[in-house]
Amino acid sequence: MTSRFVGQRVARREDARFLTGRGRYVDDIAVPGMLHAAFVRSDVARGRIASIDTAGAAAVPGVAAVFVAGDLNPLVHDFLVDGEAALGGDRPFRLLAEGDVRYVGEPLAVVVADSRYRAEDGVDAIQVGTEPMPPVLDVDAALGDDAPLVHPTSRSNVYHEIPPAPTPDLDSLLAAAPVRVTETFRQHRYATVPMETRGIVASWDPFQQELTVWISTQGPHGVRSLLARALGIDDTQIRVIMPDVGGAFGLKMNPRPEEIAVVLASRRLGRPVKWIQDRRENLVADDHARDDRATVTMAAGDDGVLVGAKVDFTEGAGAFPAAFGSATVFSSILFPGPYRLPAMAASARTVHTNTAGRGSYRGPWMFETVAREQMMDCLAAELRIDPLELRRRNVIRDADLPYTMATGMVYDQMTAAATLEQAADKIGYHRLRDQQQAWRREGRLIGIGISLLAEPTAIAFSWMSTDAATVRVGPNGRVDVVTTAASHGQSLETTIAQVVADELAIDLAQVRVLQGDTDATPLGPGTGGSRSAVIPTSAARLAAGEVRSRMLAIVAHHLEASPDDLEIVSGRVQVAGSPAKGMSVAEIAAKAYTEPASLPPGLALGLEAQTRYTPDSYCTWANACHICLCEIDAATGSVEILRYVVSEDCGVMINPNVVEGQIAGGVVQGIGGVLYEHLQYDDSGNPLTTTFLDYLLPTAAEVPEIEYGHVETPAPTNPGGHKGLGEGGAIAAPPAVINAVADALAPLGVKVRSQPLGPADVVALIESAERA
Amino acid sequence: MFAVQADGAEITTIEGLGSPDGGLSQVQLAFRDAHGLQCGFCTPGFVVSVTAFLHANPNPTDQEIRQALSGNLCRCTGYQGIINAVRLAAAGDATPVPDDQPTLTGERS
Repeated sequence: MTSRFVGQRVARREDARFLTGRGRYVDDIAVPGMLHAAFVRSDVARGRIASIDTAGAAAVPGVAAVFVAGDLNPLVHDFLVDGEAALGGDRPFRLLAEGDVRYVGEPLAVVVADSRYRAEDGVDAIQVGTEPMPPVLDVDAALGDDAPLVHPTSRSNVYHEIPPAPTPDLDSLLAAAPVRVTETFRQHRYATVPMETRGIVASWDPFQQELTVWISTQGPHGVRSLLARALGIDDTQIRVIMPDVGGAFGLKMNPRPEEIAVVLASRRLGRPVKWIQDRRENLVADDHARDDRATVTMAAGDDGVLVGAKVDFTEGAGAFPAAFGSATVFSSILFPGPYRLPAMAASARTVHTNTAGRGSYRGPWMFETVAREQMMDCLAAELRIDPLELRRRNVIRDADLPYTMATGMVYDQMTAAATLEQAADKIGYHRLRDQQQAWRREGRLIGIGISLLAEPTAIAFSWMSTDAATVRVGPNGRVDVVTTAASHGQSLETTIAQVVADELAIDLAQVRVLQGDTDATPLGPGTGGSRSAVIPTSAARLAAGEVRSRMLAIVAHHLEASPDDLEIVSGRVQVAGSPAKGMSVAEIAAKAYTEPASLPPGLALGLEAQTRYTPDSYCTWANACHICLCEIDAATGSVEILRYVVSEDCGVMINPNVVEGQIAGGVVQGIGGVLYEHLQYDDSGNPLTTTFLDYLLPTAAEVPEIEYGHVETPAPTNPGGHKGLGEGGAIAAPPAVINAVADALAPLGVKVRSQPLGPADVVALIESAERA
Repeated sequence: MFAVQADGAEITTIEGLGSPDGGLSQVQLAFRDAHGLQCGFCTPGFVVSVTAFLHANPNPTDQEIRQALSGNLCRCTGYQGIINAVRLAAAGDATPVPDDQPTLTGERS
């Protein structure tokens, strides 16, 4: 089959509506009789609730109802998301705080009124009496023997644990190695800040006993099954519609307590209720991310060849982590990365504090790459080997494949070595290293940072195992693709159409991709985990292939020709070499639906097919190399990124614009995380970064021009050879930037082991090195 | 600016930039050609800001473009496609094709 659209920088099908103000996000949804919700939230990190007086709110004009924990919490039958119960389901959860509060921002009550304005007035009129108690905010303090318990009925503040196991063989291997380095790396807490915050409109129809929900989500089906369990009603009573969604980055994988509370409020009142999270709620009370520490010991021979490693992760969970919010199992398994690391052991713990919960943010397990790539540079310094050269000596090469990691996972394919060389070439690595000597003599602080990434994409596990698509040809020969994917910025209305148009050899404009409605789309997990180019797209490809073979069979039967002698050209199935003999797709569709007797015996009726697909492996590996060149102003501490190169292998690219857009978005989130974004609390547990004046996002004025290199090795796991890449940019960028800053500051004797690396942090690092 | 400060002024929103028959403005076309949007949520703000900016400064330098964009936030694109879109719109090179036609944009550095 010829690729006419796959691989091309096709302009997006989505754009016409977004460029003209016709996008329809959840806040654009208005339902007759709709009420508006606003939440009363704790302004105390830990304390006993002495009283909640709601009388003032009830007196505010327009307020329809006020609900506290006693009203709604008993109505929640279940809160676990799909697949969570099978994995233990031990996550602490409550809808509204009852008896005590456990973080600032925890919802205490919900006010429902005829406008958001009046609902907020109602919130202001509620008096909450809280007796503050000393909070535990730091994971080390939380691990102390006499630490206050975040959840009073638990035995300790440890949420999850991978206890250290005795590893005498590894210990002696590490002890005997010629070079051994131990370091502790930290990363700070981020917020996940999609431009569109969370939002929901819930409409319970008391007469039909049916619930309709419009929600900003990454997948409508998971919302439906969760809400059915939560309310104790049937899935068949619920329709969930995902309108346009303004970004999510993992945050919107699953509803949180507020969204369930809004649904319950609608059910109690028999009226539609809308809640749009405001930015303060997003920064203060929604899931936070990162907040990690790892102590790593890594050993190597004198030649730099890795011998083994031990890593111990500590992860902040906050008070109420999101489903699958802990990433240490994944971080531990993935720590070896794209290197030959013959022996390894990991331990980890996830620790509650009186802060907002931990959630899944773009590459939730990414601290393995952040810690490992810093350690590679530490080891290189110890060995006096160039960081690029150390990576060359250890990176997995073709001859090593298939390669089984010390942690048990298998690379069927890994082109990290190729991306390392491509990125080094593109940035002119050796020339830059030579120049760096001259810059240093001039007193300029310019550093180069490398990171290598192995990205596990399209993890096919539990409820994430399969996706489906229906491809349906209509009477005019136009094609609808109904997908389980749930694009919220990933351009899937375009990329899936590219694949289907090629498969059917028709014009792109004749294919439309539909998503995001449980009444219309097949059951599936939605878009997340860098899966959509691999799993739902393959389902669409295979369904289109089935439609294609039926079209060929119908025409071959009609012309008494062999299907092998037919070709499809511009929406017409014809005899190769005799284009006059053939039928248009519309004519074939008419036969398929309306002339069953004219079809080949045994052929399925109609011209629509649904395929459910799982990849040939539980994981489709992508990989990338990032190299960052930065300069630091020693006086101000500001870091300027001079160049930034990414070489990635995401397999066969469907649309390079989309590939590069995903990389760029991730890289800038990674740069932002290291240099600007820092979610901070004061000593009492009050969030200090409650607006975009305090929580700094990168703008166009700060970001570098990103340079791309592509290594395009078809993935072995799926028919299109695609690999995911949605998360890699955000995973590999932080260590590239950190390593570049560390390299720039190295002549001053500065050691960089934690972030953020804002101006004040950099100045403090320089000053502390001067004092030492 | 508060709404009250705009009393008596003419306001152009994203809905007013294209032509009534669905044609897109040069800035809108440039955002589309340069992959200057992903989720689309920030797009109206950027397109309107860029339209006003290029009206005042039709031949901006890269630094002027970056400064002009710094009052708007985007979380998807890393600003790469947006900056390219402004360059493209300033150069007048965006492709004026109907919405329903596939457009193959050339590779841009």
